[in-house]
Amino acid sequence: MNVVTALKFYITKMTEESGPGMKVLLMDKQTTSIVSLAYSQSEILLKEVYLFERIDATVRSDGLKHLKCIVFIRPTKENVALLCNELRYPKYGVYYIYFSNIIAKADIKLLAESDEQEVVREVHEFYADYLAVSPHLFALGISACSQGLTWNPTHLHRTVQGITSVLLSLKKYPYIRYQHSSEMAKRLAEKIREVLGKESNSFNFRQESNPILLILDRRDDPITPLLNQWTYQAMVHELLTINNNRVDLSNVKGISKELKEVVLSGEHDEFYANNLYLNFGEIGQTIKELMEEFQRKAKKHQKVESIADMKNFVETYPMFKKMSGTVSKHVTVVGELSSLVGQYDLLKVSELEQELSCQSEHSAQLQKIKRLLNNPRIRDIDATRLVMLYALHYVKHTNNDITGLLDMLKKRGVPEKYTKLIHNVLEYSGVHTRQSNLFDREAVAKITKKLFKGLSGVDNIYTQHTPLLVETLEDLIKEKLSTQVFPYLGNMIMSRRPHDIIVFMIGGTTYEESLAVHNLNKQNPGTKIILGGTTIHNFESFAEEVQHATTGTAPRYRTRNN
Amino acid sequence: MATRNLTEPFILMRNNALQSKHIYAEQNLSDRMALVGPDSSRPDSVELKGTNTNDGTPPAWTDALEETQYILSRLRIKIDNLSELHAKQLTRPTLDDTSQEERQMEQLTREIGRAFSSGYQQVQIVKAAARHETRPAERQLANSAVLALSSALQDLGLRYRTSQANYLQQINSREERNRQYFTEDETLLRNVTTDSWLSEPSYEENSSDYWQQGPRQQESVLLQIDDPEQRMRLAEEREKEVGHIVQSISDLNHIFKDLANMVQDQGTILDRIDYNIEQTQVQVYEGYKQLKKADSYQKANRKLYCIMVLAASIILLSFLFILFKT
Repeated sequence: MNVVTALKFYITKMTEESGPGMKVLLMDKQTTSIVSLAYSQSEILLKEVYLFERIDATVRSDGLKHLKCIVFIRPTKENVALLCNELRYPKYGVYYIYFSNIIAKADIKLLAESDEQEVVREVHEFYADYLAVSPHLFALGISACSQGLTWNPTHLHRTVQGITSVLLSLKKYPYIRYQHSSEMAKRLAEKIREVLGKESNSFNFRQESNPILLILDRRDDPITPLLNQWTYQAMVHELLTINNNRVDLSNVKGISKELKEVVLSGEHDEFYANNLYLNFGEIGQTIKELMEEFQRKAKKHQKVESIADMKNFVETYPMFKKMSGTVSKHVTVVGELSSLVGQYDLLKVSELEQELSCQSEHSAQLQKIKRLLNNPRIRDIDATRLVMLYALHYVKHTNNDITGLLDMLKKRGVPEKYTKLIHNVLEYSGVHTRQSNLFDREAVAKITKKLFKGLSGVDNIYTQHTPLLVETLEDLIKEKLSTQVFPYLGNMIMSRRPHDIIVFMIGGTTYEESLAVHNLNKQNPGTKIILGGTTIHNFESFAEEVQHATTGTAPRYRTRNN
Repeated sequence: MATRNLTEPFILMRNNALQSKHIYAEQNLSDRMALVGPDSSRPDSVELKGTNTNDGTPPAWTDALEETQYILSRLRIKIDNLSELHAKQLTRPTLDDTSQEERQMEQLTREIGRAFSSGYQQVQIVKAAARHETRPAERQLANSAVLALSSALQDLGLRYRTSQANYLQQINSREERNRQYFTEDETLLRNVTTDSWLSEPSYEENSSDYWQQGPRQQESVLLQIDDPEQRMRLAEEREKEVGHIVQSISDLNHIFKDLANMVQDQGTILDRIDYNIEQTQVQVYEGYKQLKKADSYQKANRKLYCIMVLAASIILLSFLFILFKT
């Protein structure tokens, strides 16, 4: 149950099946990302793959007949057409074709008919059709998966493909549970079952671990993606945006050329792998330690006088080089983060966000929001964030002041794109239809928890909030998850405790949830949880998601609140 | 990690498609077409094939590449052998009956050193070939090959060095331990070991030690030898030895530094597959833009415009000249 190793296995197999000799890897846009996340170029070069090409590139290099071509593409119509063309006029000697998902017989026939020169040696399905971000986290790279609060059909298709490929690559034939309140979750679950039924031959695995696929909807917990984050990975994503483990730093002032874009990948960067879940303060500490170690080593390197020194130098030079790269990268990133935090008063904002998400003191919080909205250092999106959280929390409160806050936002000169979000998010979360209030869910348990918390004191005011997902998963592990709220699909009911859990969040997951799942995995050694989502959100992308999801729906709230 | 093999149905379908095409072709051909058609098309296809084979010949540096790969595989085995020997040497109770294993080790180290430098030379050949390559794809290919080979070489070098260092460390610590018990035999024991070390020109393991222990050893050796001439000869010999060691170390030093420079960008954005693909696309696009610019320059060529205008006016004037003169 590790999505990264699963992908690596596929790619390794792909490069090895064609035997020795120089190879070229031909990919499409999405498989390029998939491969890049699992393998670095220097690793794949060692497998004798020396060239990389995009099948959809407008200008392709001329043919090199002495190369073997590994084709790794998604089985879409366009790709099949492009590949047919390629086979008709082959640029390389032989072709080994790998599809990242189940391909239709008709498409294979098309390919077979185009292969007039008989250059194809192998055709396989390797189910690597998702982006493996961390060992327990995958995404599908779909932003804005819904339109008008229902599935966009192409995105639904992609999601079904993505999830089936996850299941196939992990060899799981799961029980499916879904969130009853969500129409989208239900449709997705049914679609997946349809595929499982149709491809039952492929899903013929030995089952010992009772896998379960739980399909959730982001709409049930719109709060998590709204919050500012304070753990390293999540923070980088929120403030600088991680895109397939790449971070664009080109708009940082005075940055050197080689740091314009950096890679943050746990697979290839040990320091990052050890620290991505630490909070901001701890990161500062570890960065300091790293710096000191580096300085010590650098000092050692300065004097190369005797032959012994020379020898030492040669031995440690590559490591040193690598370390200096790591140090400069992380120091730059953390430096940028801390300057952003200072510049935009993020500590104050985050404190209030956490209060809004975890406590209920209407008037006091309203005052605080108003004060912060008048603070010119606060960014527009942070102001919007606060009002959105307030609106979500107090929309049912009798004397809420959403309109007043909205006016304040407009007075601040916040662009309309953001002010519209306040109503959109209410629409998106569907507060009106929700039975349980997100903010005081499971009242009794919450009160006891609060009591405990009150006794021990809050240890960190910036990380009070725990995502709803944690509660759901804890219940699932303890077999306490209500079958009314999360029914099984069909009439199978699992009797035993689930060992392998795959959670999929329609509408995107977050790094905060990834951290929560990581912790749950550590706390429950018997169960393994893998989290997936259509994408991984920060505030910006979530805002887009909400906007897309609510276009074309009747603006219910505007009239009521104005 | 399930997979599905579709090769068989694919080949079946391909054969069917080819067959049906043949049948279809045969049915539709008139006699003339059947006889002449293929003939007339043959030169074409032959030509096509000719260019194909021309295309299909792998570039000259493939030999170097294969050679290096062979060297690498041999190196791997040799280094494994060496560490095995090291382990054996360490587990053995005493250092008395050294000759055979030590000689074996010595030979191995020498071979490994040689293999490293020849591998490096081959990489240089590929690198030089890459510089002369005209087609961008070929150049890219050669560059990638150089990168892969040098990082493999570097990895092996690192492994070799760490195994050597470990061995040396363990030997030293063992001697330390021994010294506690055999204080009396110290000089004797040391003489034996230094002799055996001196006889091997392996620069790796004795170099650092050599410098630390050198003076003291020399003293003890000098005490034993009285004859000044012999002493001189010994000193000269030793100097030559030292020179040799220094030379080989600096050679290897150079090689590894060079290799490290070649593979330094591991873990950075330059090591991302998608980034590199994007980069090539950006380059292609830039080239396209440049071409377009050049094209527009050519179109708006002022000089030509000027010449045309002048030519037109000359014709007009000469026409007028003729008209008014006559």
